Amino acid sequence: VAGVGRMSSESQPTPLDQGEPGSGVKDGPTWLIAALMTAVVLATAIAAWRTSDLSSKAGAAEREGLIKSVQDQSLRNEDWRLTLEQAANAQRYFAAEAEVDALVASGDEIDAAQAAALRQYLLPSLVLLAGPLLTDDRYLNPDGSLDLEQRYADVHAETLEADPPDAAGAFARADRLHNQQRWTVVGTVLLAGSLFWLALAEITRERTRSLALILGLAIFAVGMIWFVGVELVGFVAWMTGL
Amino acid sequence: VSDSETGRWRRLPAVLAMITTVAVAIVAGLQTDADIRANVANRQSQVYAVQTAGELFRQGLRSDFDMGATADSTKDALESTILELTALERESTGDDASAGALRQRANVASARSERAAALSILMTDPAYAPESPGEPPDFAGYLEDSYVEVNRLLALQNQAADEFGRWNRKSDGYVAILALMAMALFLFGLAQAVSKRIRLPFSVLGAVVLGASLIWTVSVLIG
Repeated sequence: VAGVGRMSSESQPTPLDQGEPGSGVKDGPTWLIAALMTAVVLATAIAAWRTSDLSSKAGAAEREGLIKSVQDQSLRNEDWRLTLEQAANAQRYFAAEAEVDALVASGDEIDAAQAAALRQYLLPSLVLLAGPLLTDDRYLNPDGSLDLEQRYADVHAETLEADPPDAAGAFARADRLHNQQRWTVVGTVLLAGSLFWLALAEITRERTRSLALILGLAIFAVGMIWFVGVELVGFVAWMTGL
Repeated sequence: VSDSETGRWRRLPAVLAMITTVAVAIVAGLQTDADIRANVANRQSQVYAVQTAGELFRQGLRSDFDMGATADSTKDALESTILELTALERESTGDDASAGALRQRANVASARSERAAALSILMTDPAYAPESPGEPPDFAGYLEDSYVEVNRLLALQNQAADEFGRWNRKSDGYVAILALMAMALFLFGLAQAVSKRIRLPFSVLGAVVLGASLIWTVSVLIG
């Protein structure tokens, strides 16, 4: 800094070497640029906080999505368990029914009594345990087998009516927040670019300073408009329930 | 070193520091993007893992039912055959009453067996059903088909896990690069504070560190 005066008298000054901030020459713009740089740094700090905030919120939405995915899978597991439990009871019913028919067909008196007892006590119990698999024709295939996929689809639809775990919704929210985070970071890069030009304006003079100042200001303005735009888009997405 | 020579490099550390600041912002952006992609892939990998476990559970229940129905059918069929044989034995000894009772029990077991067989996919589906009576169903084919969905989900889970690893490595690489750029910034700051004689060496060292970090950034970006 001390050699600046001597340098300017000993060599041809370049735009980059001209003047010295705080040297007393044109202090006005120097202070203005310093104030602008402070504003950029403050905006960058706010942007960094916002990026971190968005990251935290996206992380929370992802955790919620994972929890709901586990819940969803647990409900599916339980519904399959119920479906196949009913199917096993339906299978027992069909076997018992076949046994009853065979006993009746024998023509024997004792067999007929046994068949009647089975029909009266065992079969109704198995019908109850098998649920709609035995009472709803939609679950019986033409070949005599059971349409377990259809039964599961109906059981699961009933489960989802009560409290559907919306994992996809939580993940969509996480993706939206991640995208907002990305665009906020792009704004931070713009701010860094404006800081570069403002710093250049701070250490140069005359035309170079003016040009750097205008560029720095323009990029800063674009950066601020960018942030406002990103926040507005995020707000609209939040309001519309995304 | 003359004043003019030192003057030539007077602003160099400041300009390099400004360039480094912009580079830091860009690398921070890349790191954020890589981190987000790693998070999304990690989350997807976990979802697939949960789905794979669920499918294994479902498949276990389903094969238990199908195999159980087949086993019941086979057991009743064997029981029927044994009772028929025993009835023939009793007939040969002249015990017709016992033979008749055994035949009746054989008929009941046979009826149960036929009904159970109608419920088992292993006995009804042409893909697995025995080609002729007495032959076992195609258990190997059934098991192979059973795990198609599990294997598909597992492949997706592995793919997502690999994707997570790739982006996580990139993210870690960018963090290391940011640390390197912080060193370059430190050197440029120091260059502005030290005497003119060692300003240039510090600036050059900082520039080398900055250059290395930029090359590393490109290698991580395309890697």
